[in-house]
This record gives sequence, C-alpha cells and structure tokens, in this order.
Amino acid sequence: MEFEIVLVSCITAAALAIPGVFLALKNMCMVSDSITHTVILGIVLGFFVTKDLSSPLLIIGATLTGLLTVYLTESLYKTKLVSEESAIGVVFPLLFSIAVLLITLFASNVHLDTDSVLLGELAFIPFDRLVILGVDLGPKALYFGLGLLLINLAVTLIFYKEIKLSIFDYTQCALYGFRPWAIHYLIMSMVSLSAVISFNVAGSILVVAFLSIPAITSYLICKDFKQMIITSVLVAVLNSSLGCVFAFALDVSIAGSIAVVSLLMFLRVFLFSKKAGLLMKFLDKRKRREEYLKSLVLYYINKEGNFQKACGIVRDKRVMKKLVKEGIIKNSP
Amino acid sequence: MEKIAVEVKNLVVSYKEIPVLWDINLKIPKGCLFAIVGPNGAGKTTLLKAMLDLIKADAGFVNIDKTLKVSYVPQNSSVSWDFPATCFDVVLMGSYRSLGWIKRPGRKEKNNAAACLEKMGMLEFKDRQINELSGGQKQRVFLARALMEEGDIFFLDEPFRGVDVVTEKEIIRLLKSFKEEGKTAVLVHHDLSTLCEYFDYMALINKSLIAQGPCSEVLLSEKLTQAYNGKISPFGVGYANIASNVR
Repeated sequence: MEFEIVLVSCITAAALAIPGVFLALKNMCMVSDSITHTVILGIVLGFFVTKDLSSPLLIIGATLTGLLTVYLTESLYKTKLVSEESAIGVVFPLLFSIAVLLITLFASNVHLDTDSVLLGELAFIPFDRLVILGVDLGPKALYFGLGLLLINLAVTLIFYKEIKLSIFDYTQCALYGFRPWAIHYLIMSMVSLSAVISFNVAGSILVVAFLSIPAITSYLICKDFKQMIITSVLVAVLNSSLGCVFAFALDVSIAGSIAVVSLLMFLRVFLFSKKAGLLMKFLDKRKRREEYLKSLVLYYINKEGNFQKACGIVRDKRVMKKLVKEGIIKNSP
Repeated sequence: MEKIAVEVKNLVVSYKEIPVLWDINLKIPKGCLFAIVGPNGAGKTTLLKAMLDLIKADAGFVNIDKTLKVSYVPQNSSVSWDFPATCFDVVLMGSYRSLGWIKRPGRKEKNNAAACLEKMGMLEFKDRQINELSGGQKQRVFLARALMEEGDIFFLDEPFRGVDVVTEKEIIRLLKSFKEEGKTAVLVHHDLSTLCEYFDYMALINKSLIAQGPCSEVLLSEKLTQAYNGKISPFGVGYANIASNVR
C-alpha cells in the first residue's frame, strides 16, 4: 500500500514537472496557483450538467476553466491598466468565489466541498481502486497519473521545437509561421489538465509545489532546455519518494512532507550547488578576492620594500593579517 | 527599372488612435542596402514591424516579393534572456522555419549552425549561455541565426546599437556580401555620419515620409532639416561630417 502511494506520487510529480518547466520559463508560476483554484468552478459547472462527480466531462470543464483563467488574466493585463500580478489577483478570487457560492447555494448536500478539492489526500490513494470484471488493477489514481504523464510527454516530444521557440522568442516564432498563441494555449491546456487530474490526488497546494519547485530547482543547475526538463522530472521523482519515506517514518501528512522535502531540495541547490549555489558563489568570490589582494600586497611590498608601507596602501587589513598568519610574510619592520 | 523587393503603399499605423506612421509610400529595390532614418520617435521601428506584419496597419498595404524569404533581427530586448539556451541553440533555432512543424533539426542543420557561428566569429562561444554574452556578441549570435534562416531579405532593427566599431564594420562587411549575392537588407539606422558609407538607399521619415532615394541625394537636400526640425541641435557635429562624406 505504501508502495502504491510512492508510485502514484512519483508519477504525478513527474507529469507535473514537465509543464512546470514551461511555466517557470514563461515567468508564470503564480498562474498555476490561480488555475489550481479556479478549476473548481469548472468542476462545479460540470457537475451541474452531468449530476455525476466521476464524469469525465468534469475534467474537460475544469480544464476549460483553467484556460478561461489564463485568458481573462491576460486580457486584463493587456489593457495595460493593471499589472500582471494584479490581474491574477482579480481573476483568481472572482472565479474561485463564484465556485464557492455555487457550491453553498446549490450543492451543499453533495460531497463537493472545497476541502476535498483543495487539499486532496495522498494517503487515500490505495482505497479508490480500478476494478474491471472483478480483477483489481491497482489504484485509479495510478492510471490517471500515468495517462497524464503520457499526454504531457507526448505533447512535449511532438512539439518540443515549437514550445522552445515560442517561449524563447515569441516574435520570431510568429515570423517563422508557427502560431505562438496556439502553442501558448497548448502549454496552458497542459498545465490546466495536469492541475485538474492531479489535485484529486495531491491537492491544490501540492500541485503548485509540484509544478514550480522542481522547475526552479533545475533552472539553477541547467544550461539547456532539454536538460532542464529531464532534470526537473528527476528532481520531482526524488522529492516525492523522499517525501513519502519521511511521511511514513514520522507519520505525518504525505503532501506536507513532500512539499517540505521539495523546498529543502531547492534550498540545497540554491545554497550549495557547485555552479549556481549562493554559498558556493560567495565562498568562491571570497577566495578569488583573497588571492587577488595577496598578490596586490606582494606587489606593493616589492615596490615599497617593506611590509608596513604596503599595509598603508592596501586597504583590506583582514587579508594582511591572514598573510602574516599563514607565514607568507613576516610581520617585521 | 530595378526590381522592387518591398513596396509600401499608403501605410498608416496608430497607437491609441494617434497615427505614428502617416501615409507612407516606399519602394525598396532588390539587392541593395536600405536605411530607415529619422529622429527618435519618428516611427522607424514601427515601420519595420509594420512591414513584417508584426503590427497591424490601419490603412494601406505592404507588399514583400513573394519569392523572398524574410529574416528579422530585432532589437536586443525582444527575446527571453533567462531562457536556458546556448549560442548554438539560438542559431539552430534559425532552421526551424524551413523545417516546419514537428520535424527536428538533424546533422545537416547542426553543421550549418556551427558554420554560421564561425562566420560571425562566435564559434568559440558555442556553448556559452546567451545571457552571459556582451551586447556585441549577442548581436553577432542573432546575425548568425539570421544567416541560418537563409533569408533573401533581412530586416535589422538598429543592429549597431551598443556594438563596438570592429563588430559594426564586420556586420557591414557581412551585409555587403549579402548584397553581392543579390540579397536585400533593410536597417533602422541612427548614425547620420556613416549613412553614405554603408547604404545605397534611404528613407527619411518623421511620422510621414520626408524623402527617399539614394543616400547622397537625400542627405544633401533641405529635407534633412525638415525631418529633424524642432529638435534640439538637429545635426550637431554630424552635418559637417555628412557633407564631407558626400563630397
């Protein structure tokens, strides 16, 4: 059972990591937060039409609401009267609150509360099983996750070149005769569909974490788009499996544990990665500065003939002391 | 009569109902270096973009010879600099148009990309991140991408901005070699003193077209005064330069 949870969360995380990269490179991470909340409106409307919480129409409705969110946000932003963040701040609460109102007005007796949609629970995965002709084929979430992963992989593989060009250079993309707006909405459909399918399992907060953290972690270490996608998927899988393991060991919320591990992983790269880490950069810079100042001191000692005079010229006293301490120079007049 | 590469007729473009280009009529001959010149805010970039249909016009039309493949080198700012791409990647993207949808670049395109980088003297920076380059180097990479597109007509928006003299001369040398191959280049240009040295034809605009024709003719006419009228020190030191250049 535990294995099933690990498997499903890894697959879901991997599936989300792919569109997450596109979002991060488009500087749209916060749009994912917006989408994961507003899709609930699509679910509610879909439910009113079908009267069935397990209908696939709900997924389509929710995906379309996600796209509507993006469209409204961008239209608002394009008026140039509000900033992009403000546009998100207007559209997201608007659609979300309509959904909440609709639920409380017309669907309060149905099991369609905001908690179940927003918080999802990984621990319940093994209880909702796919049974065909009496044969237990594993948890349903596994198949949703696998399907999503396949769709995201396929779209990325087929349109890799177009996606890359449209994110990097929108104008050129249009000039080459590709349709950058179509590719943009293709990406947004991926994000929206991913959010809808996976937040049943993961909950909206974790979906945002799945979408953005692996992407920004790999962004710090990768120089290449393809490399970034692959690294992001690997990071996502690693984060989820470690997160699950910790959750089982400490008996805490799995979603919470995965989110914390993801954050720690990001911090690890942010601070300690050899290439991009903040701390490593700082240490490296300090070392180079020291080397440089040492040579500067030696130059002045050579020129002025004594250490005291060199001390008077070079301003960094810390380096001077270090030179004496290391025995490179004798502190004598 | 020379063949015409681009014909602009009665073109009007506006921002918020204020025309920024007014009734522009322009003919760009095939196989020449053509400069679009004018003061700041005259609508030079807008004209270039309207020619490429990147901005919608309110009136008139632009006719680019259907047989010509168009290449565009925008001003520095229009790409996403944070994107994880190396110089080589960027140049390779120049092959995407001829590849069309879905098809990926293969060995042939990759070799070609390396050759284009080499032509622009950027091969040693092949694996460098694009945002780690200097202004001039970036410009070279985008020219290499334009080379990769194998265009017949090049539109360059102020390619000399923030570029040192050596790079500027190299870009001009490249453009002149294009010209020898019968290709056309249209540039937005700022420096009046180098106009005659670099270009064959020019259009002088300030919202509307003031003059067009061979550089030496346009520069010597009183039209220049008209174009830059009302600006502080319209020619400054430049004018003496132009005059001596022309003679």
